[in-house]
Amino acid sequence: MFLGEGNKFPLGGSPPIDPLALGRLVLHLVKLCYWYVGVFGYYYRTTVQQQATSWFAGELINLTPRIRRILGALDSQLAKLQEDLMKEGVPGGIGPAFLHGEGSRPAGCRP
Amino acid sequence: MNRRSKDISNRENFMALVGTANETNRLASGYQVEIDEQLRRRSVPFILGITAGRSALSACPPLGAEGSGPMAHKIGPNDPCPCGSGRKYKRCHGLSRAITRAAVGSGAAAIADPPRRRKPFSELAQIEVERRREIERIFRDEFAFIDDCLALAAMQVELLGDTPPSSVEDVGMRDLRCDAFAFPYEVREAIARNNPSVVFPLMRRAFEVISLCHLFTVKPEFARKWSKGKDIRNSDVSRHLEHDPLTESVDQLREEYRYFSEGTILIEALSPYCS
Repeated sequence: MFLGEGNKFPLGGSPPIDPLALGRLVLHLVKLCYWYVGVFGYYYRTTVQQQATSWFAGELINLTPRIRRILGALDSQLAKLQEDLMKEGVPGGIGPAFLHGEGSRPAGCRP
Repeated sequence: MNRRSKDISNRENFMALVGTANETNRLASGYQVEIDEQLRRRSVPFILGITAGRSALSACPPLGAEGSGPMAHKIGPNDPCPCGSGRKYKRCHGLSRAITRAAVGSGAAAIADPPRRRKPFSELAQIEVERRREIERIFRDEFAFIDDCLALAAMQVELLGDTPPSSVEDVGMRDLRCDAFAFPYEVREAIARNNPSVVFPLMRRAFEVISLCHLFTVKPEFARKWSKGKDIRNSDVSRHLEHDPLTESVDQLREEYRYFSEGTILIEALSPYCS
């Protein structure tokens, strides 16, 4: 037992791994990185076209089928995990349980 | 960018910079003198040993030894310890001798099994390493994808290399490019470190920077506005990208990535390679 144990959001502590919360963050980050490469790839398309190698182009083209496969798998896994957690009665998701319609809202906390 | 150029081109500011650099050099050299002095004081026996040869080094007694050798003099328990730590001799190197003397008096068991100090945080580093390894294993494919995206972005920066900016929008994009790279990278590290409390502000900044780059791509007039030092509101970004990129709602994100869902932007960008 150490400082921060059991708390999902301790500052400076090391909380236990929550696959559901981390999975959702990873989902957002994967999309964000794809967006990032897409925006810059589009903006600098002419410059990159003059200097890039075929390997670079191949990797860029390969991103779209990869992200489809990754997001599909991650979505289904997270849905299954959430379903399992709900069956076990464990509140899932980021933040306190009342945000997900479970448990009671603390006094003084506006809906 | 323009503001920075003006700042550097201003003669007064430039001279202030030179003055700061000189001051830094002076302080650094002062520190170096002090460090050299401390090193000289701490390593006297070794210096003596080196200059007199290996035999003299082996003959040199350990720090705090009494009665013999080139540094031989009587050290009182309240004198400063010769190791240079600044503590009293009885609290530093003299402590082990005092314990040994006490142990000899009370029996050898005290030496064999000294009292152990409890270290409650000693296992924390190992726990964090194990958790990081576990998270990297759980999200192996996703992290590989993120790493590849960041590597491609870094390679793109390298490809652009010495190419001068072609327009005001390009200047804005290049200024934002470092932030646009750094924030997703930091988010990835925070997730791998299992530290979700810092992910949200980093993720928000990453969304802001990348959506701003997107805005510069589709509405170049905002890049010119930004280059003049004018603020761009989040509502401007939202309105012109037809969604709110700063929220984390899944439905809005779906809409946000609708443009990319069919790979439209990448196919358009890479059509020269495909032909």
